[in-house]
Amino acid sequence: MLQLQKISKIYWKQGHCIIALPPADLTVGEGEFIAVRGASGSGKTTLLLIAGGLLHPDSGHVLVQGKDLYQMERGDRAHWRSRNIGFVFQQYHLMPYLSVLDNVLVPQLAAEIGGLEERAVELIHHFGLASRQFHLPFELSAGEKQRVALARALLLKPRIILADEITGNLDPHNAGIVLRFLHEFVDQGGSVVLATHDAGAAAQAHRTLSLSIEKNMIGTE
Amino acid sequence: MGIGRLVIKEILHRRINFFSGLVSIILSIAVLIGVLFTLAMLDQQTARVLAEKEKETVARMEALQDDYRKIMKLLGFNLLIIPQNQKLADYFEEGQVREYMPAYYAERLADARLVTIQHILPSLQERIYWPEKNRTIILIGASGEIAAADARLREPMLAAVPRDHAVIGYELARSLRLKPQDSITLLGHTFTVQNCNEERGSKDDISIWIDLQQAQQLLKRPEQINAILALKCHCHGNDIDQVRRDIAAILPGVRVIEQTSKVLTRAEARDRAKEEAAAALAAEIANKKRLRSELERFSSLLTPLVFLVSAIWLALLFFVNVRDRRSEVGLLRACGASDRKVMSLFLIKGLIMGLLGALLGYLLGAVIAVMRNPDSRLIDVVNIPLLGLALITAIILSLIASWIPAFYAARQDPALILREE
Repeated sequence: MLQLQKISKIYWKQGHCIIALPPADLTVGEGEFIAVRGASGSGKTTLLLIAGGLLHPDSGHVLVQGKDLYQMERGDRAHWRSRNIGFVFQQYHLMPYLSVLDNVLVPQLAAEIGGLEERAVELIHHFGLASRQFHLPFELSAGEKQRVALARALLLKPRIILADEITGNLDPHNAGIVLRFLHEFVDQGGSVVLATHDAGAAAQAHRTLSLSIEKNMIGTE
Repeated sequence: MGIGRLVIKEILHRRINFFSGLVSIILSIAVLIGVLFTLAMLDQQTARVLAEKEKETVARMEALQDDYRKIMKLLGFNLLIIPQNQKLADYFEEGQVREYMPAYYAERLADARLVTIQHILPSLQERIYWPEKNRTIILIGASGEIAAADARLREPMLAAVPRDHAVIGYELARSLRLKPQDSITLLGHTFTVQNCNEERGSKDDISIWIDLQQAQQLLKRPEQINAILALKCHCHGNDIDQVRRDIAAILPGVRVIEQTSKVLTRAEARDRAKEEAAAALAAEIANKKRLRSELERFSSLLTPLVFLVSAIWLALLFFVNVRDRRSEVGLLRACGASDRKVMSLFLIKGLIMGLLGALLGYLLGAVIAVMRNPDSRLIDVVNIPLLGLALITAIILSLIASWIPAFYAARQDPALILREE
């Protein structure tokens, strides 16, 4: 479904080369739950952004159904992303002035697809947020916010969810709920790549990709 | 959820940012519209004042014209017809005509029946030495009035002096102690004093009037005269040139001299009044033009400056807005939003700001301009072309100011945003 071949990323800062992501390989198959582990700064987020078509790698290829994602036009890549990828972030990135319902509907706006209100309401109910449907983000708890973010990521029925430290701000109970929803998605045929430094969360994945802080060690467990 | 709803919710959420920009547009448009309204009203006011003044002038001129016609009808004006070879300089210097023309000229003029001439008085006059009294006098031979054109207009003018009679000027009568019925001897001929004139303060006071034929005999100028006085001539306006041409056609070799009359003075006064009115009108126009020009010059500096400051301020506000919404932009890009979609978030906001700013700025500028002008009514606020101009200007202003920040937002690296946030 998604194949990352020898992708790497470096940054230049004040004349020094910083390796944000050493060369890495990763293949995401249908119905797979993959954890990407590593300490802060090890390149987990960079890997997810490259995988999602948001960050051009300095080397390597990201293949989608045999095509190199970064050989596509900018607009085509955005279109592919809207149909195939659901991003979930640690910081939720909810729009502060939109209700829960409207926040869930944001991908519809980005992808210019209409008639998804019913699905949005279904997702809100599914994630236990029915009573919060018209609340603004500042009225929600951290767990609720993350569930809204997850519902938003699922609105357009993506094939892959790229989740970046989504349990980082949650207590174990809410973290458990969120992970349960991810499993549910996988059970329905979707794929999840979860970047986390939480060993407990990573343990729930089918397999784990470990990124080393030293930037020169990449391995799988 | 449409993009419009998202933009409106964002506007309501970040009210201060939006209203700061809105106020800036309102002020810019208010200045523009206020200036244009004031200029338009100044033009209207000028046109109205000019129309009123022109109307007043026309009415005044008509009144004067009417007055002039009436006086003209009553008084007429006087012409002196003299031989053409008479030097005018000598005439004006001596007050005496030294050349002669045939006496029948008077009858010919009368026979021509010019409707413009009422009274025709032929005369022969010479400055002579009166040997019997040892003094210089002006002897005037007058035949009385020759029948003229329109009998209806005619009124008694001057009675003819009967033969062997004389009319004595004031100064002569006083110094010689003459009175009516006295006898005088002039150049060997005896005359009875018919009348002594009142003082006139002119050469008439040293003049003696006798019958024209007797004067021709005494002065040895048979069948000759040297002046025809045409009194109470009538013509439309003060166009005596036509009268001159008429006389010249009848009497060849004469010169027509216009003698100043009340009517001419009045006509000249009327012309002067007309000129003064025209000058006052021109001064009013010049004053209004000067005011307009000053206002135009001032506004041509102020308006672009206000717009420039407003555009800079708007651009700054939009940059602040882009910075505040980095997270939103990053999320939208992560959801697959195109550059166009991201830009439209800011451009639609700019459009809304421009539309609202145009309407409110138009109202503010128009109402202030109308209130400052006492001649204006509230309905004058409605001016569709100016409203259109306000809309176009405000939208262009807001779109230009929001375009660069919107473009910047669309070109931001979502990866950088999402990693930093």
